Amino acid sequence: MSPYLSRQPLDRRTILRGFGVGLALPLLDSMIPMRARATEPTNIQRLIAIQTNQGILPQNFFPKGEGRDYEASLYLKLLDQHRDKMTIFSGVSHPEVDGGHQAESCFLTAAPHPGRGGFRNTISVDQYAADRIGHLTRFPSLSLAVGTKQSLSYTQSGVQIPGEESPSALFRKLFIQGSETEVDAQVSKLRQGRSILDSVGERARQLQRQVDAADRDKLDQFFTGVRELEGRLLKSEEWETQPKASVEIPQPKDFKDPGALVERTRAMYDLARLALETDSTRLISIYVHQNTAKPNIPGVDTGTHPLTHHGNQEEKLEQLTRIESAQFSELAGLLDGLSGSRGGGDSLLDQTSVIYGTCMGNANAHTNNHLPVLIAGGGFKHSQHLSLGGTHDYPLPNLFVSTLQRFGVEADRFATSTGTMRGLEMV
Amino acid sequence: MRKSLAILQLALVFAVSGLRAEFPEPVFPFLETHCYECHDDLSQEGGLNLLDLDFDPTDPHNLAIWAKAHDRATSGEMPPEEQPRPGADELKNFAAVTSESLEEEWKKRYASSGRTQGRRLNPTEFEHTLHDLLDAPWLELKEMLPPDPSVAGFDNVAEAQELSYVQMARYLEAAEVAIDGAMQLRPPHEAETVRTWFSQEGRYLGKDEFEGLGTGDIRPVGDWTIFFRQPNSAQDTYHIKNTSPRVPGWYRFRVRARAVHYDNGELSAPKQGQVAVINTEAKRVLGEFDVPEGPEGGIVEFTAWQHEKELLDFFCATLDDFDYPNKKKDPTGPLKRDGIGIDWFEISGPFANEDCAEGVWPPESYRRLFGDLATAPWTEASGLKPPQPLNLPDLTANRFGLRETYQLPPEMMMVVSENPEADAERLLRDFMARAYRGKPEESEVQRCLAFALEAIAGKACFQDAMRPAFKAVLCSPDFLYFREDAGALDDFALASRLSYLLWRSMPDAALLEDAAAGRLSSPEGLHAAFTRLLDDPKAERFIEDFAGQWLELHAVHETSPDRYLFPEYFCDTHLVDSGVAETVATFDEMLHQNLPAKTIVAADFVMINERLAELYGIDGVRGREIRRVELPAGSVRGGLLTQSSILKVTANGLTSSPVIRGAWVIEQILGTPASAPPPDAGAIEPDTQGAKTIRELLALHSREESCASCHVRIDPPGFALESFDVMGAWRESYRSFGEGEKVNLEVAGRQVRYKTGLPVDPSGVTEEGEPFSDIHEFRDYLLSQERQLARNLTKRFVTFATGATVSFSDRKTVEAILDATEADGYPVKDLLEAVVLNELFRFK
Repeated sequence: MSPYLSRQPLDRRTILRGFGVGLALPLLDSMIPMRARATEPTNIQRLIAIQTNQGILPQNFFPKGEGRDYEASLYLKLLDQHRDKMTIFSGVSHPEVDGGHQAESCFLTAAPHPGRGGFRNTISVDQYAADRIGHLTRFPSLSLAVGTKQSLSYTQSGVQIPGEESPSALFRKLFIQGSETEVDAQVSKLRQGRSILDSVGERARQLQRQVDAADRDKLDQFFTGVRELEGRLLKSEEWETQPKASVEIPQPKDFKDPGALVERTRAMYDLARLALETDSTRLISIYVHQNTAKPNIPGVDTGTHPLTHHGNQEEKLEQLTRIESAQFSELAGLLDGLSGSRGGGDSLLDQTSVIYGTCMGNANAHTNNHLPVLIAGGGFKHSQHLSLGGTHDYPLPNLFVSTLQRFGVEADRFATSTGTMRGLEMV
Repeated sequence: MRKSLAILQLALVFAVSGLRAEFPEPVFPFLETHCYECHDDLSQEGGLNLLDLDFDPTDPHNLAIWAKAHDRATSGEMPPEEQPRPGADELKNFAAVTSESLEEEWKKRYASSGRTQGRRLNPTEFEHTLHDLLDAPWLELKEMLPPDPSVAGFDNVAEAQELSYVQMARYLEAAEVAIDGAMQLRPPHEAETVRTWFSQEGRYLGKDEFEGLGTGDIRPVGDWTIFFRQPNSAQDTYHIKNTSPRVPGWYRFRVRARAVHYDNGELSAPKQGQVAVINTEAKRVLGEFDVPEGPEGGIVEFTAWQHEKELLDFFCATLDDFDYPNKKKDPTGPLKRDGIGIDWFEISGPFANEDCAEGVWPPESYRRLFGDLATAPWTEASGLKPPQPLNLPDLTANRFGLRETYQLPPEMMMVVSENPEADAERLLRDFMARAYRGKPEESEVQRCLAFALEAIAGKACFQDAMRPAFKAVLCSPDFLYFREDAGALDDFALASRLSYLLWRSMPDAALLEDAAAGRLSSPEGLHAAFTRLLDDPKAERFIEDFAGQWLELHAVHETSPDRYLFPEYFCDTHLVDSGVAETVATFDEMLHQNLPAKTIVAADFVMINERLAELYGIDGVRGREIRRVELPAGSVRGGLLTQSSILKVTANGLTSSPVIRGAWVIEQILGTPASAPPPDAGAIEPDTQGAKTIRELLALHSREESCASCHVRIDPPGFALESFDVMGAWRESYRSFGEGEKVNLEVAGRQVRYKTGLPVDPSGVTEEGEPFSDIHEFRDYLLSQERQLARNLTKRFVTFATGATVSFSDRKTVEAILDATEADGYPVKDLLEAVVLNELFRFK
């Protein structure tokens, strides 16, 4: 292995905040591998996109008033210390995405009519970005899940990527080296891919000498594409042979109890933050999924899904509010953790777009418009409530376009977007 | 002052740039007199700066601007009406000089670099090619590749096709999925036949449905389990327990079913024909059929491919989700409805090939890769490395994640070869000759063979040795790109162009033989090949793809009829699918029967099924099959223009817009698109409260002079088509939620909420000033523009057939084709063939 590639920062012991044990975090700079530092821009952007699937009570989420002077709602008060790093949206939804619960699979894809015949999902925003910047990290993206094996991430062909539900398995994946056979197999596969591309590239060069000028240009494009892909596969291969980021915390345990909603959420949020801190990945989707299980929260004696069909009964609304408040508290914890990590002068929160929302504006009625969505961090100009709807909702995919552009991905549209998110400017 | 400045600038430019001197005298003075005032560098009206416009023959974009200037001047559209007109001679000179120069430059370009440069297989073509190459029509590959952009309405235009590492990664992945899937390397599985009965709990009906048995949704009568209701939500589908081995393969499905009219326990013939569908949970249709009628019902049989472990759904396409009255209080009360009864459901399989012949293994797709070589279970004793896992070829392998793999321990199969090096070379040569659409260069064979030989030397199993070789073939530019050298195309290039036009796929063995024998270089040979390919069932792919793109049928699912304004259409996927089938079948008929181009707007027949007949008010049509029905005189139907699918893609779920429909007609049907609206045009908010018609709202727009110049062309077809609602049914008045007459009607057991609103006014005045009162009169007007209809279609044929748009110099060629077919009314097949036989097609 070339000394140029050795990740000396990782030889140092790194002590990171573990579960309930607060310890000092190292500077994020030192975690960036030398190569990356040489070639990558200093302002690296990240994404965490979270969907909670059973809706969010609109009366407890949407603030009063618009613009900067909005009056925080019950849930937004729980995020108050991050008010100046958050933007709340109202009057937004994904165009033509309906079908009640069916819309859960379209939160990051915006593919229309998920409940209808012949529906095929499309690529999710995190995978779109992963295709373009994923090679810069060991894991192009992570698709995490709480309470389900599904995820929010979909490939180009509309296939769902499995959700990682187990904190211990995720920890192993991020920080424990694979067995030699596993590593060898993966390296082999990547090498074969590179080898094929290499010979295909040679053929393109050969053909270029035979064809006329105009066709040569096309073949040149082909050759460039091939070489670029080879480069990315090489990067992936290098990652395989690198030791993974190491952290000195014990491997977390899994939660068997279906009611452990809060514990599981916290575990996943913590691991997500660790993954970003160690630059193991820059794109994370988290699917917080609830159904009939009763969460272990004081004062709650019914499963979440039944509670969302509250019919405006006081008792049910009260219990649902407890559950959702607990979830917002966990979100506050995540934002706290991110703003506490620093990297290159900015906090990690400033370099991470955290999108939090749900696919149902009113879970009681299973409607999919007027969605509660917020975005925190990511180097946008924040601290406002943007009320974007009119007679129709404003297209939410525009938020994804803004986020993609924040990563430096050249995209002027995503799914059914009409442009970038109105009112959301970059710093 | 401005004028003299302009002259000064002109003189300077003349002095400085040698290029300008090539453009003879009349051009620049003409521009200076009539154009620069608005189109100079300061004002740039409409974003056009003619003052700084050089003549740059190397830049097609530059040539296009000159073409635009020429067109606008000769049509009289520019200068605008209130400005002084150019003299007749002055204009004639300008037009002649510009057009001659443009034609000359285009011809020079064509001679050196051809019309089409570096055309690549687009995702549709890639998928069809692999289906044919590997005899595996069940491979789902198109969705794995990013779509190519559309230019001039088609996604196979070379100049817009780019390739980046993202696409390259996908091609590599798709190639792997195709090879691994096609080889189907698993132990043979004996075909089983399992028949199960709908009424048995746990066999078919889930617990919920069984509990619902006997209510308004499902009731048993004798042999039959009768379904009355089809819920709209995908969460409430009827599930069928898949009792087959659920291993990938071909399966024969049989259903004993009966369509009935149920009247409180008594069964009789149904009022309307019933259609049922068996699809996978991922909504892939396995079979769609008319449910048999008659006291004994009937047995429906069809063959379909199943991927691994697929779940099955049963969908009653012609039933709605009616509200059964008193469902909660009296679930088994009186009921009088049509229903679909099912007795049993049987699946046989898996079979290796589509003919469902027993005892055949391995399948044909395996043989395309490994010929006659046998397979056997892998053992350590073989001395070879363990087999690698293979990719399953389906897109939704399981509910939890990506394509799974097969060939996992402990049972793994391998391809047995006594002489691996020789077999590898033999099989690869055969594969490459087919994949490369011609004899591959020796260096190419060696390049790909090297992968196999290296792996064989490393003791890999034979299939694992061949996999990288096959992938190297499918990622090669020889496979992905069309090889077309400047000048007259050689026979193999012609064969590819022809088969990708008519089959959207690679040439077959017979066509490659024609190419090898040089038969395609003669008009007779090319004509014979054209005829054979067009008559082949694979030509259906061309018809579907061309019509789908030309008439924008892909947009048909983009909006859905509003549930309360159009309750009769709500979630009627059968109707929408039938509409698309109608349009494709009509184009098929136009092509195969060589009907005149005017069939686009008017005809004395329709291609419909029962559901469409119901929409159109035509009697005597039963069943889901599309068939030709002759129309009575004076029918509003006939031709593509008044078809359901067309009227649907040009509307949304609530309203139609004359602007959208009108703009669509002049662009897609006439080929004379309007310019984009100016940025401050404003939008019209359709009024579903019924206070104003869309026409009244538009009136303000069309009266303004600057708007009128385009709207005088856009509005007439739009107004005429206002007689059709969002699904294409005839309407005399609009529906509204607010003002209007109450409608006493029940749809799906519910009182409708819409009211009858303001009357429709389909009259208007054509661009030339001729008034018309409705679609009939407007159609007559369109028929007077037969040549323009044919011109538009021919230009689209040229683009689709060659992968390059119609340039200035192609115009004369198109006119010549029209001249030659004028006497017969521009028959559609003749137009297509004329394009194929033309130099346009036979040269690069």
